[in-house]
Amino acid sequence: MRRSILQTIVLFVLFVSFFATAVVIQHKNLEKVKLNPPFVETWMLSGRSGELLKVLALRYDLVAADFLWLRAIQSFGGRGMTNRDWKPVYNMFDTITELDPYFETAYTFGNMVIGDEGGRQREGLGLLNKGMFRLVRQYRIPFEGMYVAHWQMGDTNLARWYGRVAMKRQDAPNWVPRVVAYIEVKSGAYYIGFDRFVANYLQGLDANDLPMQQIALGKIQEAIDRWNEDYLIRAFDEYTSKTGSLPRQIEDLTSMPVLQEYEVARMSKFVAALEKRARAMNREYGIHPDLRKGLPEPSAEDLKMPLPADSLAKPGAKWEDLRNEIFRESLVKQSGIPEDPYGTRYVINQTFLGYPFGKKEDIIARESERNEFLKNLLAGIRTSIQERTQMLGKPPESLREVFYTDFNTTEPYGGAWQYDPRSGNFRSTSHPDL
Amino acid sequence: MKIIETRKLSKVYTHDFIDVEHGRLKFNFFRRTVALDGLDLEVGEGEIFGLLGPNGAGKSTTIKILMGIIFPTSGTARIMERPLGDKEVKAKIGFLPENPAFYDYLKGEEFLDYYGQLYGMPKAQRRKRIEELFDLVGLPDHAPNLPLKGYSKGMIQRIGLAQALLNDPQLVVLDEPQSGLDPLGRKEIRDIILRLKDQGKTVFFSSHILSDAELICDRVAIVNRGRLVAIGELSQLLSPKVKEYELVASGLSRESLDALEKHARKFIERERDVLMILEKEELVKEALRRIVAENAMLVSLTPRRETLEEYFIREVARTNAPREEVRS
Amino acid sequence: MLKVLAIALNTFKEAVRNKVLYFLLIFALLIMGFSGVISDLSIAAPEKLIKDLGLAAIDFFGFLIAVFVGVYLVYTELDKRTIYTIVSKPIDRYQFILGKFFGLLITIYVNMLIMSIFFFAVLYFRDATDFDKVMKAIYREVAPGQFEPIGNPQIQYYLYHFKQFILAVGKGVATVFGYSEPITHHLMRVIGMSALGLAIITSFAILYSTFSTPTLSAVFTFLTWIIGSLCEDILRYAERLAQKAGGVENLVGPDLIKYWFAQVAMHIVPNLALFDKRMEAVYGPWEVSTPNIHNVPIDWVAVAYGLVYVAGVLCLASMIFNRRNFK
Repeated sequence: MRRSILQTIVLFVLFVSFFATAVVIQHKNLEKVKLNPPFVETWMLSGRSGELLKVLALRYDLVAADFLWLRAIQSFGGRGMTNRDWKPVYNMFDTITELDPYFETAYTFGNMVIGDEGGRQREGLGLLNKGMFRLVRQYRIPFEGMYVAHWQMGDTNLARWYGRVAMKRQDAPNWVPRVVAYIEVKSGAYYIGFDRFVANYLQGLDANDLPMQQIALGKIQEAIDRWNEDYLIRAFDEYTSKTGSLPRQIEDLTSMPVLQEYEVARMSKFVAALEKRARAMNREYGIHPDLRKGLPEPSAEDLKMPLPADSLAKPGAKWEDLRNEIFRESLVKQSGIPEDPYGTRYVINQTFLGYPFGKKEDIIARESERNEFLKNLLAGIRTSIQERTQMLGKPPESLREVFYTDFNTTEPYGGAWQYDPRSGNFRSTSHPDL
Repeated sequence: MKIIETRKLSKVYTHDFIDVEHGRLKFNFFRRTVALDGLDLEVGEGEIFGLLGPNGAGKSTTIKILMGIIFPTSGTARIMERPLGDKEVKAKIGFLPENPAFYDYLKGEEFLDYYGQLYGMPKAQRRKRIEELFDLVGLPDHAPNLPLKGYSKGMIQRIGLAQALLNDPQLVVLDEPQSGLDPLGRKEIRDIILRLKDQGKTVFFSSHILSDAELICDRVAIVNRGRLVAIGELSQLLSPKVKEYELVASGLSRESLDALEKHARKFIERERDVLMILEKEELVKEALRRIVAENAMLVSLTPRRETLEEYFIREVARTNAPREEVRS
Repeated sequence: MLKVLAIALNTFKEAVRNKVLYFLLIFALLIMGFSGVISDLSIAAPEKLIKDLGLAAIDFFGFLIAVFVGVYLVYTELDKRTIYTIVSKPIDRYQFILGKFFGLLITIYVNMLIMSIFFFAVLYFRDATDFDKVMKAIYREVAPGQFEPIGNPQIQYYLYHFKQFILAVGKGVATVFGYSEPITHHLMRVIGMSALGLAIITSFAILYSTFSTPTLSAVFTFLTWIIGSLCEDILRYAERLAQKAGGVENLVGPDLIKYWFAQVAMHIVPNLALFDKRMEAVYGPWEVSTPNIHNVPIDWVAVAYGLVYVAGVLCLASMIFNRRNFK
C-alpha cells in the first residue's frame, strides 16, 4: 500500500515538473508569437469569410486555400468569364490569400481576373498590395502592380512607385529595370502592356491552359492595335496640320515623320518567334491551332531566321523563361504603316472623315472593321427606307423623304451611294454586291 | 509463513452517479454496495484453500483485492508477508480469473510468450516452459499454433491455467477454475491442483462447485454476503458422526415393509426391491432382523455422514437473515 | 523496459487488426493519389498542391488513427478483463500505460511511414512525368531544333511512365530513410514534427481512455486537438480583449475573468501549431531566400516542448490509472 502511494507521489512530482517545463516553453513561445502580428484579426468571427475560414480550417489552411483556388480557376474558366460580377470573385481570392498568405500566383491571377477581366483595377491592386507586403522578396507582384497602374489606370506616378519596388526585389531578373524604364518613355505603357500579356500567354502555355492563352492572345492583339493606332493618329494629326486637308487613303500617312523609324510590336513577328521556339523546344505548338484564326501569317523570312545563340529555347525549358527574348524579338523598328495584329490592314474610314465630330480612333480603322461598318450602315438605311415604303405604300422618291434632310453621309470606302426610287434598292458603288 | 493474510478486509462499491442500465438513465444518489465486510483470512504454506460461497458472496472481490485489480476500502491484506502490489511477490504468483478472456488474435504460443515476457522470463526459458505447460494442462497438439479465437471454452480455461503456471509460482490463485468444464475437465483440474500441492505450492481457489472442493481442499472458508461464515479444516467443520443410513433390500414381506415405512425418512419401493433411509441405529437393526428372519436379501447398507454441501446450505441459510443495504 | 516493449508490440498487433485503420489508410492514400491528379488542374504550382494535400493528409489521418484506434486500446483490455491477468503480473501500472502509448505510437508511425512513401512517390512521379521531361525522354535532338522519336513513341511513352513509376516508389522508400531531392528537401523533418505533435494527441487519447468510455474519449481527444490547434489564436483573443479595454489594467468584471482564463488556457493546452511546419515546407522559412529548395530548420524548442508535454500527460494518465479499480 505504501509503495503505491510512493509511486503516485513520484508520478505527481514528475507530472508537475514536466508540465511546468512545458508551460514555461509555451510561455516563451507565446511571447515570440505576440511579436508577429497576425495578418488579420482572426478572432473577428463576424468578419469577412477569409478570417472565419482561417479559424475553421484549424491548421489545414493551406489545403483549404488549394481547394478554393481550384474552385476559383474553374469558375474563371466557366461562369466567371461571362458573369463579370467582381464581388464574389474578389471575396474568393481574398479568402485564398488569407488562408495561404504566400501563394504568389493567387495574387497575380486574382488581379488578372478582377482587374483585367472584371474591370476593377482598384480592387485588383488591393489584392496585389496585400501580397506585396507578405512576399517581400519577390518582384512579380509589384511588377504586376506597375502594369495595372500604368497600362490600365494611366497613373504614371503610381506605376513608377510599383516599378521601383519591383526593381529592388531580390529575385528580380535583369530585364525588370529595362521594362520599368519604359514608364518614362512616351508610349511606354504599350511596352509594359505588351510585355505583361506576353508573360500571361507564356504562363498559359506552360500551364497548358487554353482559355488563359486565348484571353492573353486577345489582349496582345488589343495592345498592339492600340499601339499602332496611337502612331497612326499622331501621323494623322501631322498630316492635317502639314497639308491642311484630310487624308483620303491610309497610304497618305506613310511619309509622315512620326511613321519613320519607329519601334512597335508586330504580331506576325511574335507568332514567328513562338513557332520557332516551339520547334526548338520540341513542342506541338506555339499557338494552339484553335487560336490561329484571325492572326497575321508570319513571314517565311522571319520563320527562317535562326534563333539567337543565347536563346533559352531548349527541349524541357519553360515558356515563361523565354519571356524576355520573345518580347525583344516581337519588337520591330520600321517605317510606314504598321501591320494589323488581326491579320487584315489599316485603312481610313471615310464616313468619319466627313463627320464634323468624327473621332480619330474611328477614322483609323481596320479593313475588317470598315467592311463591317459598311454592312451595318447599309442595313440601317435599308430598314429606314423599308419603313417609309410601308407608310407611303410605295418606295420614297428620294432619300430626303426618308431622313427629312439631305443625305450626305460619305461612304466608308469613298465611293458613291446609289438609290433606285422605282424598286427602292439602295447600294454602294464600291461594294454593289452587299 | 503465512501465504495470505487479510485483516478486516472491506470493499464498498460506490456506484457511478449517473449510470445507463438497460438503455435507461439511472441516477444513483450516493448508493453504495458492500461487497466485502471485514474479512479475516489466513492461508498457510502448502495448503489447498477453498474460498466457498454462493454467487455474489464476495469471493471474486476478495481475489481481485489480493491480485491488485481493485483496492480495498478498508482493512489490510498481505501476501507472503509483504503488502499488496509488491512486484517481487507478484512474480511468485499465478492467477486465473473467472471466465477468462484473452487476446483472441494471438496464437496459443504467442499468448503465453507475451505473458512470459511480462514475467521477465528470458527467451529460452519461456520456450521450454511453454512446451511443458501445453502438455500439463492437456491442450491438443494443434493448440500452440491456433489463434485463441478458435479455442473452445474448455481450451481457454486450460490455457488460462497455463498462463497462471508460467512462472512456476509459489502461490496459485484460481477464481472458479472449474466453471465451464465438463466432468473430465474438472477432474483434470483437480489433478493439477493436487499435483501442485505435491510440489509444495499453495493453491487458493474459489468455487461454488462444492463436491470438487470437498475432494481436494485442506481448508475452506465459507463466505456469504461479504462476511466470513466459517473457516477451518474440512474434518473439523463437518461432524464426524453418521447422520443416516441408506439401506437397499430385496424380497421383504409386505408386513415388514409397512412397519418400516412408518419410521423411514425416505422410502422407495420398486417391484421386489426397496430403498429406505433410516435415521436411527435401532431401526437399522430392526430392518436387518427382518431381512434375516424373512430370508430376504440385503443389497446394500451405507452409513451417510454430513456433506460439505449440506453444511454449506445450512450455514448460508443461517446467515441469510435480511441485511439492509447501506445508505449514507 | 522490456516489459513495456512487450506490451507495446502486443498493442501494435492488436491495433493492426482494427479494420478502421485500413479504411483510414486507404482513404489517405486515395487523397494523395487524387492530389497528383488534381494538381494538373491548377494553372500554377502543381507541386505546392501535392505537398499541401499530402502533408495535411499524413497529419490528419495520423490524428484520426490516434482517435479511432487509440481510444479503444485501453478500453478493450478493461472490457474483456484481460487487464486482470496483466495487473497480476509483476509489472507496474505505469508500465502498462507506457506500453499502450508506445504501441499506439508505433501503429501511427508505421502508418505515417506508409503514407509518406506514397506521398513522396506521387511527388517524384508527378515531377518525372512532366510533359517536357517525357518529351525529352522519347525524342532525340539530331540537329539543333530537329527531333526524331526514339523507337515507337507510343511504346516509349508507356515504358517511360512505367519506369518512372517504379523509380518513384523506390525513391519514395529511400526518402523515408534520408534520401532527398530538391522537391522533397526536408519534407521528412516536416513529417517528423507532425509525428511529434501526434504523440501529444496520442498521449491525450490514452489519458482520456484511462477514465472514460471510448466515445467520450474520442470526443475529448477531438476537442483537445481543436483547442490545441487554436492555441495561438487564444492569445489573439486575449490581446483583443485587453486592446478593447485599452490595456490589461482597465479590464473589469467578466472581461477580466475571460482574459485570465484565456491566459491560463493558452499556457496549458498543447500548442499544436508549434509542430506545424507545412508552410515552411511549401515556401521555405520567412527569413531566408532559397528558390526551389525550401529549408526547414529543426525547431529544437518545439521538440523539447513536445517531449516534455507528452511525458507530463503520461504521468497524469499513470496517476489516474494507478488509483483505478477495474470492475
